[in-house]
Amino acid sequence: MTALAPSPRATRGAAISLQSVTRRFGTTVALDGVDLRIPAGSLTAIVGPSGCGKSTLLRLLAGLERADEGRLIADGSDLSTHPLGTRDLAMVFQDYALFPRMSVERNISFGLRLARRHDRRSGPDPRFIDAEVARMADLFGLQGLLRRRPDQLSGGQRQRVALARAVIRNPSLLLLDEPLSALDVALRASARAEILRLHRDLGTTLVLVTHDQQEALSMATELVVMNAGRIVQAGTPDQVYRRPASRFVAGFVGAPAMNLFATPDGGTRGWRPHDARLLRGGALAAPGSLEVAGVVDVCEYTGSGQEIICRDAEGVPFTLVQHEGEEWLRAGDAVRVEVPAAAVHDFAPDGSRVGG
Amino acid sequence: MTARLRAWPYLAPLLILLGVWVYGPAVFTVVLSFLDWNLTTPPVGVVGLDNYAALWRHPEFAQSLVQTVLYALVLLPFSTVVPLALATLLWSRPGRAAEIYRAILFLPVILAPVAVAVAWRFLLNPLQGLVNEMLGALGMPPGNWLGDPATALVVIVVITAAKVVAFNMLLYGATLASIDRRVVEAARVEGATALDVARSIVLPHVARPTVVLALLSLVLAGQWTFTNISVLTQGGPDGATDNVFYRIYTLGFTFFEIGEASAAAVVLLAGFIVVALAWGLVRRVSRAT
Amino acid sequence: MRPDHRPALFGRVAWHAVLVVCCLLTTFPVLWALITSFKGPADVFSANPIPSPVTLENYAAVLSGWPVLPLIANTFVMSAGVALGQIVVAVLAAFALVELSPRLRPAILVAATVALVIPPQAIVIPQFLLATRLGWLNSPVGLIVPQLGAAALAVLLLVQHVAEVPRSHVEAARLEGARSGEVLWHVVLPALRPAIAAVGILVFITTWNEYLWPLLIAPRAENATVQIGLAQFQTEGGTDYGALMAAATLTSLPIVLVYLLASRRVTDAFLQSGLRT
Repeated sequence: MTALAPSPRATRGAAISLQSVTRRFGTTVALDGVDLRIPAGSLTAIVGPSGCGKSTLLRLLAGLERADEGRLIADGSDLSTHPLGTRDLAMVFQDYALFPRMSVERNISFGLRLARRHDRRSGPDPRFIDAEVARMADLFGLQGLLRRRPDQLSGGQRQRVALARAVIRNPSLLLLDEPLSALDVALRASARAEILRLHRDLGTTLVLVTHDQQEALSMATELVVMNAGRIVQAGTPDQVYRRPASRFVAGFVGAPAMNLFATPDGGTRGWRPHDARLLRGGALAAPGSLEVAGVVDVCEYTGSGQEIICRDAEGVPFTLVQHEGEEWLRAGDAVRVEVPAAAVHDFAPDGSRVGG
Repeated sequence: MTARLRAWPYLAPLLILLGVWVYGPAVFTVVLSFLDWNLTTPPVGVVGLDNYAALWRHPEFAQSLVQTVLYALVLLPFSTVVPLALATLLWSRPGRAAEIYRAILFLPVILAPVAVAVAWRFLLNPLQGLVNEMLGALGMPPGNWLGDPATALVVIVVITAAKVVAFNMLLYGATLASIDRRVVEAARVEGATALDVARSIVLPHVARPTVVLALLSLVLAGQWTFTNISVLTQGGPDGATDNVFYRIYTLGFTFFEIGEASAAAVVLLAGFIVVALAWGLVRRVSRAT
Repeated sequence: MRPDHRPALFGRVAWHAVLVVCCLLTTFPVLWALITSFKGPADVFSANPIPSPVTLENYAAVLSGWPVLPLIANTFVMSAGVALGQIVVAVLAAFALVELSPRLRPAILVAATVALVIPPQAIVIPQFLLATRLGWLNSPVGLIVPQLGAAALAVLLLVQHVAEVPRSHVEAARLEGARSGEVLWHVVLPALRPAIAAVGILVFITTWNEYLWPLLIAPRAENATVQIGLAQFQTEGGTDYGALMAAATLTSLPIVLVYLLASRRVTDAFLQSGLRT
């Protein structure tokens, strides 16, 4: 994929703002008073477990759903005045939604051809459309495939066609619904890179939805964590990772997951496996740090190290990581680790973060 | 709200058609049944239930009602047992031969019904028709098939049966096709005979469609035989092949007794409604159990 | 392991025998009509399965005395017109019911089902009165338009297929700015092609074989359909059975030819309709 040559119609990303947005389906509340600011030009990833409302939020942005309450603002203008099909945005669906009986070329140019038909005078003319299609073909490496039908393409190619169809209209907002989940694992890394490059070159605001928090962490400039119809945390990936705002976020973001233990007062205490340091021999834990002892239960080799599941005195499991070059722990070994105080996260009984 | 508005232009053709050519006429039939009219002179006026009374005064109507039931009963095996048997036969040995037989057996649905009726008339000719000649060759007495009140109705049913059998055979075939053959193979391995397979695997599958087809057959038998009656016997001899459906036609278009014809049509509609309600009731009961 | 060879073979022979007999029973009348149509007047009633001599005089008589081509043409125009008309009406309605206002769907489908079940004889009189008031007696319009009401069946069949078009495709088109008509044309219609073909075949054949309505609305020979023409031929032609059989054969021929070419398509089409009802 080549870098985008500066086009006279350079894209600028829209800044999106959701204000107290609520959406219900019958008795279920899919979105519960959601407030969110999506920075212009950001790559915002919305993560959460199934049913958390992230897809509904994306569809709301697209115009496929309407909010029961609240407002949706894009670059200062209320989106509810722009019904479906009139908004300056494009969406790539999870199944790509390529029209099966149209060639790749006609799929990509679909929106432009419609625009031309709606407005013969000031809409795009055929030569412009052809030129844009060619530009997209170059951008996404689809030359030679333009005459093909979607069922003659591989999964990765189909995704690129879907992206091309979305990008050709230079939208100021690009929505991606689970862009990587339809691809097999080998393709995901390259697809991730393509999306990142696309975002960098286009400058448009990109909002993607995924259930894979690793994916979200690695791609986003802005990470939004949702649960049960609400936004539980929004910030940079670094902020979310280092200072999770709630027990839920702490356990959801990061792999291997944070080790969480119940505290006597009903709260939770946690630390990430990567923050723990092995104490060998009779070494003492540094003052102020948390000391954890246990027995190794299961070891999983990961290639660059191993993940170790241990159990503490009460039988509660926790995870440790070891890296290449260390002496491997084995099942049955007694183990002691220390966690610096700064890496320990405390959560109140209601799940909210305690302390700094 | 706006969605509704957008839908109306798309729905309008269908709704207008249904309203003007189906529901409107249905309502109008009821209205007509209360009028005294013979198509040539302007309608005289509302005559209340006179038309209905007139219907009962003529023995032909009662006869046509009885025979409607008779048609339904005589046709019943041809809409259930026979097509099921054929479908099962075809299903038991899938392959090229079964495909060919199926294609041939389905022909009656495609063939022009008038042509078939005419061909049958030729065969059943009492003096020189092939059927009587064959019977004679076998030493059996000839029959005046379409002209004898005792045989005419059954003959009409038999002629109509081919088409009913063919169509229902197709439906049963689809039901049977949904049976997983591996279940049958497993049963066969365990030593089940064809009869066992039929009883324990095939039967439960076809029980429900059979009930539906039986009901449809009972209700629509008179309608399906209409063309054959019209072409071959015109309700005769002496009304032996008449049924309500044909009587309506006779009253309306041979005698131009629009009022009476409409009254008969209302009786027919009422019968349909009763059956439909009963069917709905049965379904609700069977769904609860 | 097969326990015994003989029962298996016997079963197969019996199977074929039964089916062959059934096939003969169902096709015999038309086969005999076909054979008879080639027989001379002296030969007509003989039990001889082979015409002796083989003669074409019956066909000559029919073709000269009977307006065969106009009848076939009328029937074709009617059947094609009804098929086309019903498809258009049904596609529009099915699209509306699935995509535009799904909340209306159950009610309209019930209305369609009820319309299908009402026996035609019960409503034929007002239909006839209306059609004649409109001046449609003995006209192609009169043959076609009233029979479009049966589009209810086509609607029931097509609604299912429209519902199977992936929602994401429709949504994607809408996002690109497509209006309802464009969604129908670009997204739904291409996916509907096989279903439309099936419905078209079904309606064409059943309309070709229609008897009651053409009998009422187009009794005049030049405007009649083949079914009515044949029925009239029967009453007028009286005793010339050879010619009558020739006429019957000619009446059945076109559809049977279509069927032989595409029997699978045709049976599938009827099957779908049967399953719906």
